Amino acid sequence: MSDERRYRLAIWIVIASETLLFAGLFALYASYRAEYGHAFSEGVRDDLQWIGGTNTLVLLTSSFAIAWAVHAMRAGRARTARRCLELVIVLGLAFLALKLVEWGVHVHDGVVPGVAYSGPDHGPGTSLFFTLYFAMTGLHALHVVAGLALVTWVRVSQRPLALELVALYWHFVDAIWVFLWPMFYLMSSS
Amino acid sequence: MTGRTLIVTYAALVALALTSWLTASLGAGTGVALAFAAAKALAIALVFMELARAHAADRAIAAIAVFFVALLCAGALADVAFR
Repeated sequence: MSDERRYRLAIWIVIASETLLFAGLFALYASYRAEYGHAFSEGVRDDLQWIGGTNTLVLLTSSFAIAWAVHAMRAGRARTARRCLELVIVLGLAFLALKLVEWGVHVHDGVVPGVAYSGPDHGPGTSLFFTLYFAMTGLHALHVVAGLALVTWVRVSQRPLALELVALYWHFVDAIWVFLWPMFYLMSSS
Repeated sequence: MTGRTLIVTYAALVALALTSWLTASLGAGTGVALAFAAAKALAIALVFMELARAHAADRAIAAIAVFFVALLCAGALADVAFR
């Protein structure tokens, strides 16, 4: 088995492990949503829709940018690849900035995780919804931070194989958000 | 993947995102929103992550991970449904 094959296998095992980390939280969400449908539907309405939607477009664009960086690197266009990676970093930072704005608005309104919750009351399950919201979007944001560190390292080191592996990780982070978006911003119907 | 394939996939992802945003604002159910999410994730996996032409072992790892997520969510939902 070549080194490249070994590294590719390793990154897929990492991605599968990370998927299972989120799986537990997805299962919790499914369970609580089934039990507290009204509170979860109303909770979705309390989230800032424009930030959720904008962040989705931001991450999808960043995924395209890093895919284009891989495409350019394979074609020997290292300069284009570097520009694309810089765009990924800018978009990743924009995603985090918008997330911080949203969390700040929530905290200001008393929408915090756990027993300290003092936001709108939609009945049993309301604070559970927002606890899951902070846990899942927070865990995802940590993955974005890790991804940004890796993208920055690849931009500096300019190793083609490392770029391909980091791109896979970045796409995974994007794919997780693709599911968090409807769960916390779109599914306002029971 | 060719540059054209990447551009077409990106355009499709944006179109799917905007459509799911629109349908949700019109009151579409959770199934519709999750179906759009699954379609986007599939496009990302097959094209951007190149799973469509990846080594069989990589595809098997990805498929098993997705299967376990589905199994765990189905188990959690069954627990509530048959309680």
